Amino acid sequence: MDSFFASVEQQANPKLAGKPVGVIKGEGRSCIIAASREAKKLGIKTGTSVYDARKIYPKIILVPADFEKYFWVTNKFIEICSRYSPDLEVFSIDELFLEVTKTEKFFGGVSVIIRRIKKAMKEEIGEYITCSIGISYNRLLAKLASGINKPNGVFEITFGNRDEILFSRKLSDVCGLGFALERKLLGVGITNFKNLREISEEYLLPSFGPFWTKELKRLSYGEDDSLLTRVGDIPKMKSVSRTFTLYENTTDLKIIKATLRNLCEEASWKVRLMKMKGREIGVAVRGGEKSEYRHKTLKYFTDGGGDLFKIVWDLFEKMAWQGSVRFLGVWLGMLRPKNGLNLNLFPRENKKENLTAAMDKVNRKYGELTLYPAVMLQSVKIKSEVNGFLGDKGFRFEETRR
Amino acid sequence: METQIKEKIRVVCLFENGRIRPLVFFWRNRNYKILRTAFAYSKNLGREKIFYFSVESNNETLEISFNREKFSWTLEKIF
Repeated sequence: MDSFFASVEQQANPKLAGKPVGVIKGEGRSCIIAASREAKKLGIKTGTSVYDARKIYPKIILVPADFEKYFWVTNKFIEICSRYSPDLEVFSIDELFLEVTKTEKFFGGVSVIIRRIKKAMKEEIGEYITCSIGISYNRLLAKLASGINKPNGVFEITFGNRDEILFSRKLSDVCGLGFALERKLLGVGITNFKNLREISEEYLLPSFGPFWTKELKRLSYGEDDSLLTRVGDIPKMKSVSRTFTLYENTTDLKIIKATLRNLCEEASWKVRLMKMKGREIGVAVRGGEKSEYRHKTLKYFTDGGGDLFKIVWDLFEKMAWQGSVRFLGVWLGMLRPKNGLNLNLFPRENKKENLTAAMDKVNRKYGELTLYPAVMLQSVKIKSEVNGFLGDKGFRFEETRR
Repeated sequence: METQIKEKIRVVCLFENGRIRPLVFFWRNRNYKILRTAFAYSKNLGREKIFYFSVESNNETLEISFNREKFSWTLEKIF
């Protein structure tokens, strides 16, 4: 979808339509996470600081993000597209792949499907939220095509025009070839896909190894034989994490403790909703120019926020962090389904689990963090949110179905 | 600039084709005829499902909401 977050805000508040809008994570945040079409035309894009955005256009309108609203639109978009094929893969919060090879004949062809999708979006979501569609014979080229004629456009890459399109693109325009790999390619004198195709594998091998040499050669032909992963087939998550950037640098241990406790509470809540437990616990800290992470693997599985926090706090104290903290993250990994694990035999542990289950029941009924640990009393509550990459899509779509 | 209101209102609405279409609402002794619903979406708050509507009335754009569990309408904010 085009300029997704900003378009949703402009649809929800028509007074913003046609104006340069920047979506920020929350009040007081200093980075624009999404810019409207109008803002992009002025040179304001994702990642532009609020300070720089105001230098470019002092009247830019800043709107705090509302991820639940955006995810509602995502689900509606998925529902519209799924009318035309069951083979649908959700790639991110605003992108999906739809395989219509077998179903297009039922609807009169691809162009009819596209027209209907766009019409349904206009009528059932809103006229300001548009999508740009790429058509091709594989995922990689379809994604590349979707970025060519924006906004609200359609573009097809066929066998006939594939090379013309590929050779005119930057290396990092192709999904799967990131900036680091692009820099490495530029470093050995390869500046475009034509060079990449013409160069021998022997030349690439010393710098990229056997796996990437073959992959890069395939990319130079736009080859991709990966299949779509349907929503119902998304593999179970192997770990759950939650990170948070504080509003300002802090050395206040009370704030750090409360934030870590909050993040542990959220990560463990998610794990319990998925009916899983984990035994690898990690913490990440960033501040100034430093960053550090530590983890510990337990001999038993856990899903309790308190248990998770005890380990996280211990790991943090062992870091003996000097200086201020700006960013914190926790994760619980090596997840396994609960049924299949040994039951707890100790009454004290069972009591803790019963208390957690009771708290979860209240929070499910009245909303997340209705009940929370006392250490979080004086702090800003951080609630779970959908992220733009939908890294936890398996969990999110299960929650939607619950 | 948004102004948060969060006050109860009375609403006349149409339920049709699986959708809710608010038509007019009453707030602080004034009728607001809804000329257009610009956007509608829903959120979950615990077990409560809340439907939000961005509506245009005269020269104002407002957001009203319907709580499905409490069966009540609220004027959330004025844009």
